[in-house]
Amino acid sequence: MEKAQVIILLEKYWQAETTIAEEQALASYFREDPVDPELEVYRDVFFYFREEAKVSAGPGFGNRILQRLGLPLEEETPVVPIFRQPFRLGVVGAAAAILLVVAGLFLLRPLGQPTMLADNQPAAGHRDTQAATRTQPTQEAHAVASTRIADTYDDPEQALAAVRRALLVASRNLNQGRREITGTSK
Amino acid sequence: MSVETFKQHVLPLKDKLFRFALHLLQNVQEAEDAVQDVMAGIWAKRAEWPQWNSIPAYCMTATRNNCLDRLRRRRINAVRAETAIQLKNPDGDPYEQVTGKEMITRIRQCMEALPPNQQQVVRLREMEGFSYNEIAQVLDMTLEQVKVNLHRGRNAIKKTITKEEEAQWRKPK
Repeated sequence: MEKAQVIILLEKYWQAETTIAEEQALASYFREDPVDPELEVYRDVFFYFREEAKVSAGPGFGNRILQRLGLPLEEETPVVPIFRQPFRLGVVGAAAAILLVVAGLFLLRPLGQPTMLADNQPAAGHRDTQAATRTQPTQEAHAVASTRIADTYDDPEQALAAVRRALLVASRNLNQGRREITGTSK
Repeated sequence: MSVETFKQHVLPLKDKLFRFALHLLQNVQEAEDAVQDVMAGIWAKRAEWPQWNSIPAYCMTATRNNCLDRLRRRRINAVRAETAIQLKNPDGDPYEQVTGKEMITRIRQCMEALPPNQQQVVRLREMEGFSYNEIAQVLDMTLEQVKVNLHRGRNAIKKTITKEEEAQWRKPK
């Protein structure tokens, strides 16, 4: 609004001749920046009225009235738990799916890895690898061998060490994933 | 149907009624009780709603009457401001905290020093956005009286701020 127009409206305002719409226009002018320095003095008046109009009995007042009248209460604005929010649920779901895939890969890989190594460097004590070196297995045999994760090791110590390694990697990845989820929920 | 009408047209007035009751009673709990009484009365008269010209004006009139009855019963005219200041300013004046100005205090003091009629007219117009007709109905005045009271009230505030402004200019630097 132009300064000249504001001055005219203000004159009407002090004379109590403004309409509600004109008063709202004035209030709106003094709420926004910039206000002309010459008119700045009036800004506090509109600020005061605006702030006074915010006084209320606080939340729950409406329901206290309804309760007294025996009428159905109004729903309070629900506080949606973080994991019930659709967006969060999607993010968490996706993160969980990725984690499962990653964890699955890392869990299986260390056990299957020696089989794949068998082509180049046979691992001592590894039964399928030894068998592979002995019998020159076909590609098919490799594939079958690599999917067999049971009875891979003859030496229980080696098997335990391999399992520990696999769990360690999986645990590290799970922790990393959890940290990411914590980050998204904040 | 009545419940929906009540929730849509009457219940949303609760804060306006509360502010006005608080202004008259200067006590938060009593203001809330007054509004609840008024709401109960309005609900009891739901059969008459279609005949009312303005529901807000009717509710405000009922609030004012309820508060005046309470004031008569209490016979207090001297107990003022304390509760209101507590309500609005639990830690001092929030406006001043925001603006750092004394002007807001001056305006409030000026408002409180206005004659009751002027004060009520200004409040109903400035804070509750009532039309001149509605104010006339609530305060049982003519339109002319409403405008005169509003004009005087606003000009008292204008004088306060312009005086303050002049004083600021005259302050030695």
